[in-house]
Amino acid sequence: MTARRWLASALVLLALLGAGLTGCSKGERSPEGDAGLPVDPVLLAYLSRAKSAHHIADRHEEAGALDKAVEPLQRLVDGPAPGGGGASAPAEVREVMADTLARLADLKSQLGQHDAAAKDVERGLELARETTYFRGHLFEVRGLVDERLAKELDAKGDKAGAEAAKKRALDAFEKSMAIQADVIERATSKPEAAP
Amino acid sequence: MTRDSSDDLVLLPEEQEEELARALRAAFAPGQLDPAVNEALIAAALEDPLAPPSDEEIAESERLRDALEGRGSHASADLARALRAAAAPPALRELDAERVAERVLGKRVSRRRKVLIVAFGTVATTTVALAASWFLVISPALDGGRGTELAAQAEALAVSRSTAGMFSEKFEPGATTARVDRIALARSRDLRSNRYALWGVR
Repeated sequence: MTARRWLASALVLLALLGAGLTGCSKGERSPEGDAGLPVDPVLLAYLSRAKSAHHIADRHEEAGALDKAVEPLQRLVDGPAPGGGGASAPAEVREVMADTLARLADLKSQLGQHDAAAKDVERGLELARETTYFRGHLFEVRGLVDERLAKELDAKGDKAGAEAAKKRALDAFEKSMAIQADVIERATSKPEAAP
Repeated sequence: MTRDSSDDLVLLPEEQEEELARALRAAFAPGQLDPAVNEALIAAALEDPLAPPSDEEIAESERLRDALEGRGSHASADLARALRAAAAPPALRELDAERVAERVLGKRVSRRRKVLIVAFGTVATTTVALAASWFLVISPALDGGRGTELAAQAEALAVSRSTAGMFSEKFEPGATTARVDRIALARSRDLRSNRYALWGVR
C-alpha cells in the first residue's frame, strides 16, 4: 500500500466515523430535551447517588434521627443532576427527584417544618407533571403534611387555621385518589411498556 | 519498517500496513466474536461498576493521567491520542506534506512547490473526504445500506424514559428507598446492554 493509498484509506475512515457519529447524535434527539438520550454513566452516577442518599436516610430514620435523615436527601435534591435536575432533566432524574422531595416533605413535616415541607411538595409536583404514581404520591404527602399541621394548630388553639388545614388535607387526599385511579385505569386498559 | 533519509516520517512495510488496515476495518465493522472473548467481555462487564477502585486501579489511573499530561508512557494514553487524532486530525505539517508528496512522486520538490502541495493537499483532502462520504455513507444510506444499519444500531440503544411503568401499585409510605433501588438496578442493566450494543456483541 502506498502512502497515497494509506492517506486515502485514513480519510475514508474519518469520513465514515464522522458521518456515523453525526447520524447517531441526530437520531437520538427528542422533543423532551435530554429525555430520550441513551442511558449513560452520568445518569447511572446520579441514580447511584440517589440510592446512597436514601439508604443513609434509612439508617438515620431507623435510629429516630429524622433531622439527620433530611440532610443526605436535601444534598441530593440540591446537588448536581443530569439535565440540571429541572423540567428538562431525563425522566428518571425528575421522577427520583420528585419521590425524594416527597420523602423530604414527609420528614420535615414530622419535624414541624410545615412551610418547608409544603415547598418540597410543590417542587416535586413541578417535576412530576404526568399522571403517575409519583404525582399521586406527592398529593398524598401533601395531605399528610396538612393533616399534621392541622393537629398542631388545633393543639395551639387555632381552630380556624386547623379547619383550613384539614380542608386542604382532604382535598389533597381526594386529588391523590383520583390520580391513582386514573393510573390504574390506564394500566389496565393499556399495559405499560417494560421498564 | 522503512524511514526516509534524515526525516522522521515513517512508512510501514506492506504487511504492517495490511495489518493496520485489518485492525481499522475490525474496529469500524467488527465481525463475529470468538466465544472465549465474548465470555471474557461478559465477565468484565458484570463487575460492579460502582465498586470503589482498588489500589491497583488507582495506581494505573495515576499513571494514565501522568502519561496524558506528557509524563511517562501508558498504553491507554497512546490509544487516547490515536482516537483523538482520528476524531479531530491536526493539519498536516508542511514538512510532512512535502515528504508524502516526495514519496508519492518519487522526487524531491522545490521549496516554492511546497506551498502549492500544502494548498493542494487541503483541497484534495476535503475532496476525498466528501467523495468518500457520498460513495460510502450517504449513497448506501439512501439505498438502505450501511447508514441504515448505523441508524438501526443507534435505535437499539436503551434510552432514558419514565420509570412509571415499573410500578403497578400505588406507592406505599416508607418504600422510597426500595423504589430508587429498583430504578437504579433497571437502568444499570440498560447501561450494560448499551455497552454490549456499542461493542457489537448483542
